[in-house]
Amino acid sequence: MGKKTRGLNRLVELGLWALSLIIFIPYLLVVLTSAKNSKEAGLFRLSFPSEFHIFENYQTIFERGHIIQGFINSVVVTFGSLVLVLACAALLSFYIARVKGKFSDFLYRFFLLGMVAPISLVTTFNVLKGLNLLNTRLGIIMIFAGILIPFAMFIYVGFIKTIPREMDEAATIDGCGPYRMFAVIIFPLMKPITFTAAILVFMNVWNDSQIPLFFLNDNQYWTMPLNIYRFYGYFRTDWNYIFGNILLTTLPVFIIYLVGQRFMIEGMTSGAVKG
Amino acid sequence: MSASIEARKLPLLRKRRPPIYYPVLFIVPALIVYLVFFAYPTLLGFYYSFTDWNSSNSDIRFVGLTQFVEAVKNPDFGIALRNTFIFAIVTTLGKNGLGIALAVLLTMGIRARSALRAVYFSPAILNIVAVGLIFQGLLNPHTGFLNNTLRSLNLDFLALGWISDPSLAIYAACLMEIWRATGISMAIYIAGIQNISKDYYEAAEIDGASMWKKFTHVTLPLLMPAITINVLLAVIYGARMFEGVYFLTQGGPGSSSEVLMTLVYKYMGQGLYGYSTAMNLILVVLIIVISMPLLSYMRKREVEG
Amino acid sequence: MVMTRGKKKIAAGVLISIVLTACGSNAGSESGTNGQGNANEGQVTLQFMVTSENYSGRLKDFIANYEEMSGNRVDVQLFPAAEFDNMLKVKMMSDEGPDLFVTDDIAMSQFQVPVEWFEDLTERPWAERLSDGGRAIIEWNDGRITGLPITNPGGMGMMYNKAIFDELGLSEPTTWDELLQLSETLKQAGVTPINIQLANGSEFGTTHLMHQLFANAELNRGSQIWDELNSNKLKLVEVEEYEQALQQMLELKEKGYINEDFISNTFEMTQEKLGTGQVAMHPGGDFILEPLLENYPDIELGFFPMPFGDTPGVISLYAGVGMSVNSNAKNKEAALELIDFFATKEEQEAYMGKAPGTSVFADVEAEQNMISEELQKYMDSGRAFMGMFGRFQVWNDMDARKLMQEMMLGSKSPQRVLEELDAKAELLGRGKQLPGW
Repeated sequence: MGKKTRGLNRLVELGLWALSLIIFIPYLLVVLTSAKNSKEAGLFRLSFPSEFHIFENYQTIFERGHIIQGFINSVVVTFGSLVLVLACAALLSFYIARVKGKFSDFLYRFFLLGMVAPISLVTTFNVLKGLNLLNTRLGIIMIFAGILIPFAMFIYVGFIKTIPREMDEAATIDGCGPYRMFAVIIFPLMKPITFTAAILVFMNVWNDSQIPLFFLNDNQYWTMPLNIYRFYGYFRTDWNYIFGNILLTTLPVFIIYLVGQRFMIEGMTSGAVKG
Repeated sequence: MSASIEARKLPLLRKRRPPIYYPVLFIVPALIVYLVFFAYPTLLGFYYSFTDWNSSNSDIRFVGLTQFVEAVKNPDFGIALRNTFIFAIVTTLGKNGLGIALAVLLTMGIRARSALRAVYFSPAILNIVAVGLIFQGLLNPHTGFLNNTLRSLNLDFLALGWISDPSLAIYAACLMEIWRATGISMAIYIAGIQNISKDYYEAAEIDGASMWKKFTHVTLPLLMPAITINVLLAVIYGARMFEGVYFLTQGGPGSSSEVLMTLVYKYMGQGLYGYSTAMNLILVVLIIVISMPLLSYMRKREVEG
Repeated sequence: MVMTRGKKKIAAGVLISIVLTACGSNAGSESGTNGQGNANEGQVTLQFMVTSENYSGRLKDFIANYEEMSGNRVDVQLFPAAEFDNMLKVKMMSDEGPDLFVTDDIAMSQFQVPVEWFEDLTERPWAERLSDGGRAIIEWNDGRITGLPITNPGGMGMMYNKAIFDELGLSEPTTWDELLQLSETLKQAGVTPINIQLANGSEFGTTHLMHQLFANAELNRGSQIWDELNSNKLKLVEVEEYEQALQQMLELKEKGYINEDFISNTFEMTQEKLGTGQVAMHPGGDFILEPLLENYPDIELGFFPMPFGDTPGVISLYAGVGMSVNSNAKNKEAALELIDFFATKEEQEAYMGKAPGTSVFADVEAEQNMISEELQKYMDSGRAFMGMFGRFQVWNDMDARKLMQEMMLGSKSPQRVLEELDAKAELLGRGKQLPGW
């Protein structure tokens, strides 16, 4: 690397760090505000709290914010959706990518349209009700799956097309039935794209507040983003509580992110979208 | 295993190719979930947009296109339509423009690139409600952080109304979404760039191309598949946006930042279900009409990597 | 090994999900009591949907009392107000409705929510104990009683800081000109005359001014105005009083008699401004007293209706957030038992004791607060009318609130505001297939 390039790189690096303030400042604001008293919190300054209310604030938040329960619910729902979406979409996409013909094309378009239409709340509510899945986390998982399978399929199909058919042939010759072929040979090859799809599903499900709001009657099953919303409804202008709640809600995700972030981004970057 | 396969493969292939059986069963799980929990209720919902279904009446009658006409006649429809377009286009441009720029910079071989990538990606893991609330704290014209800072730097004229200025509110929402989601586009573009073979850059280098030329003649064309996906997804997502706008401005002040989805939600809340689903259907048709041509246009410009 | 990792991941995921689901379902729900119901024979669990904002301390106490008295459990389901209506509607429509639910305003509820959902309470034993005035406030247009207030009913007028008025030698205005004059005096003295509250979520602070001015139409034209409006024979834009009302509001802004930061002024900021004497007058009702007096216990507020032209103006009444019974309730008997219990003299007095104000019962000794006392005078002299939201069947207060934002920001004229309100009313009327629309 030449000297000029190195100098340029340094400059760029500095610039990017400076720009990242745009990201850090809101974070800092949240942290600092959560330690202040209510009045000072409402001023939204990047100042140190004049009185530290950390203990009282967080105590209230823990008591009223159902943090742990919300976290457990979020994990259950997200994990369940992840498994369901990836499994269904992988199988579906494999079929679509390999089988030619009108039926296959039709399937592709049929699912693709699903990316465009938002769900219809009342009719879906009735479906869940009819199946006795109202107010269950399983019901929510099914809804998320219904919505996200198209997206996962979109990503998968392009990638599968880059896996040469010879692999299938080789496996078949070797005596694999189609199911074993898929599970043992093909699916492992899809690891990078599975990562990408998994991340997309994770972020969509974890952060969604609309669907749990509508289909989970019982407050005890509410997921974390919903609790933020409910908390906000109650503590309308006590920004210290609201931001503290946001902090606690985001913390687990942030920790997971910090630990796995290289994984995550590398997964996305290696699961390259080839269209 | 490989050696024996090779040995056995050769004679077989010369004779005939064994038919590979892709069981239709593969599509069944996805189909069931999709049909039961998504396609059926959504289509049913669309059917209702041709009826007068509302919360006061238990008989539902078919009324043809009446709801659609009413929807278009709504005083807020024009604004919502305009805002939906603005939001979709501005956020798409922002996320992708910035995303590509960041991706290029962060694949240049900077030392701290992993850390920087993580930083720029991080807002995407935040919950949208939380982001909306945080930005309320940032953009409040009188007590918000941004304006306070601008005023203390004597830049008062820059301390605009943001979320309480009818002409700016929707753009404030765009800003928030760009802040939140640029990292995702960035990550996908980084992937795309990393997939571009170094040979192309070396060839360009040999030809004496400047950095800019390298970017426009090598990077951009080979990124087209990624650009297609990102732009398409961004447009669709932007047009369908509800939570981002709702939790920042609630469609206000007044109705200046309403988008089609916030209207759908509002009228559902008022019990006008047929009306609400009609508006929903209008949005869907709009998205299809915009994204199909967009998709084929971009597909044409893709270059095989 | 590569091939089994995928399967392992799935298996692990499923296992964890199962374990967590099992753990999760043991967690307690939001309940109004500490007593865990050991399944008593015949013990019922009532579902009560309440908005988070209205789940007050005294409501909690009452519910605890009921649980003790009856041995039943009450499962309180809280939702933020913005989502509440949607949630209620979706649940009711799928027969999953709660046994009891709150409504924004008892009088307004007859239009907001399908009437079939409400259990008719007109024949309940306590209905006879309602005072005439109380009954008039909470009954529907057709005379039905469908709920009891859990926040005190009251009226919307102009509250003012007595200390400031006394200091500057001001007295309650009886004409618009007088109001303008005293506003000028206040302005010169460095006090913001009138507080306008229009931040998102707090716009009711301004519609409260609008409603009291609008009520003059009923004063002038009598109650048949509601028949005419409800049957679409009369449009809002055709009622001169409404346009004059909005013009007056705009005039306040043009003359500089309102606070500059009105668009980001929230309910909490209003309390601070009132409490610290930065503003002299604020349109509203006695619901502000509970939070206000907590922080500013020494403040003394007076109350008068906003003058209208040359007349002293009238008060606009509201029925208060109400508790109603679902006509399709799964545990209707227990629900009725709860509301009957709420209506008893002892419970009402305990309830009112925690937040003094107007009680709808004739036999309940309720302490009056500084505003409700004044309000009583106006009610007794025929200068108080139920607000538009409780009489006009296609009124949507949220639409009005948003239009107030636009009007005060200058982007829509009063006439345009009324036209849009008419358009929205027509949308609602046609959508619900009301006769005449």
